[in-house]
Amino acid sequence: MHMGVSRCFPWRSRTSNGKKRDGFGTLPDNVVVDVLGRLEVDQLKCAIRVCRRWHALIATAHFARLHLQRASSVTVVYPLCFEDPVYYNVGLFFIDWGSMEKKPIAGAKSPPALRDITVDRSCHLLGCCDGLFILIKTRTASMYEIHNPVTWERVPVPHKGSICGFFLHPLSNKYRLLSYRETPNGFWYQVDGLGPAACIDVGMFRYRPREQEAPSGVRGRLHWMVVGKEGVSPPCSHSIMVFSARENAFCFMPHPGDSCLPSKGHSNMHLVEMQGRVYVYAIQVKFMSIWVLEDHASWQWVKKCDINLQWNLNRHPVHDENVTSYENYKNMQLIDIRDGELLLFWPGRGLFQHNLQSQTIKRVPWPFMDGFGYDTYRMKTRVVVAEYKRSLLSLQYLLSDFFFFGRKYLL
Amino acid sequence: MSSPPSASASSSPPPCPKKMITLRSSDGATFEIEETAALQSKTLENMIHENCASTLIPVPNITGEVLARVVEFCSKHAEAGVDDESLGAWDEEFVAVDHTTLFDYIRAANFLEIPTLLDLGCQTVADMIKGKTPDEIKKTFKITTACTPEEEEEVRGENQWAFE
Repeated sequence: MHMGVSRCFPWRSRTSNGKKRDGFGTLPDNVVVDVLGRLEVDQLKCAIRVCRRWHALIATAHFARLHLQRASSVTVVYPLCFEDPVYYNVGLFFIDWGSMEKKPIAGAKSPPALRDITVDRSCHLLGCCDGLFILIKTRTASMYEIHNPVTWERVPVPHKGSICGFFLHPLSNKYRLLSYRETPNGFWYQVDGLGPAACIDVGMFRYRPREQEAPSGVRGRLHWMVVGKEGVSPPCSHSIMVFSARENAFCFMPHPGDSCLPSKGHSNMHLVEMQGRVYVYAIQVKFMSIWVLEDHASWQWVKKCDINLQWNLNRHPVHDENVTSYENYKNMQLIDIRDGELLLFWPGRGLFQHNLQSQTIKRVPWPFMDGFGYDTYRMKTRVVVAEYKRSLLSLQYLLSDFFFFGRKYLL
Repeated sequence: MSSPPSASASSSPPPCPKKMITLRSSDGATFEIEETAALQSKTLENMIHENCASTLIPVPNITGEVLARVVEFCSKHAEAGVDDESLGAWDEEFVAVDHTTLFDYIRAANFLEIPTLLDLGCQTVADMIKGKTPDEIKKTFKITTACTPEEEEEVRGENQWAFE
């Protein structure tokens, strides 16, 4: 993104004392932006205070988007703990796999740490797109919020339907929400922006996403496992719903692996979008099979691994004494995959790290869950997983997309 | 400049003589650079393709001292058979210079549109900014255009999150 040679500052005479010259003063804006765009958000908090010029360069939508392109993502996990009739908000965490050293020690993989992100405890996480969270207020139905934890901004996004997707439209480069409403004949889907702009109808379909989540999609396509009205399972051939943001259209595709027994449905199959790939995992008896979508056009899935879940449970202290059998396996969730290491959440037992090569497992401490007063491991827990990039993207830049509430609502 | 490899006994054609381009710095010094190395610079590449690079290309914005080093960088990066690790080490040594020189390299890379050198220079400066407080950054880079108290307040008002 060169601004052209004409933006270069004129060469200064070398007769001046070079040591006293402000180096940055001689660089054009595009180069200063190139330098600052490489900094992480915490460093940008310092950089924005250095001088007026740096503030002017950083506090723009253009810089925020450029910075997002370079930023690496982390996996955030939100455990939704349910003890009839209440949902508990334990907190929102991101998985820290540790800094990548230039010369990694072979074989040594330190366990990941789960770090708390401060977010309002009256909200549940549905999903994340770039640096923005989409949250649902727990006490009020259909009250949604977009929140950027870096800039502290939050904006309510009232919606009549259930939001099931939050994505960046690949052509318009604007953020969009996909939602559905249940009708007597099925589910009515529509897409709209983050404000009062006209919404676009997508159509009526027989199925809705099985989980209450809002994925952001992989390469412009969003994916969900689906159910019909009253939770009826669709046939295997229609078990995965895919939404194309470009075409504003759905299609229904079969899940990988063998066909399921009609009585069981696909309740043991789960889909997760992670790090730009789509994974499906299924738990059958004591094995977890994981597939990854290699090619969308041909709908080609490749088996990534089969994990034997018959672990020596005596080596791992159980949090819930009532869990004595392997019954709970079917609720196990795949949380993260990185460099041949899997992170698995086992309700009732905790978080485990599984190495694909050595087939070893380690229990990963999760301080908040382990020590929370509500004895979270006794509860039915489902974890919402999303990809997050810390970003300065201010909701003010997206203001044209919003109801104009004014700045007082932005904190 | 390494000599061209000798032709093998098989039917490979004899290597062509390498085309040289001459650059002239702002203070009149001239430097020869192989065409393959010069192609690292988009500015020079455009000139070569438009046949402007007949004999001499003036580079008025860059002094001889800096241009010599830039030519060295492009030549090194155009060399065949250099593995990534040793190139990385060479790059690290290349940017182990004082701030003034480093900014000279960045300006030259921007003017001549050399993506590899620009990337290296900008990353080096970014690494220097990491871990420093705003005051330390001002001191390190001798940034004198500090905010007035009123301007500081305005920045604080708009970006409270940066001051937590």
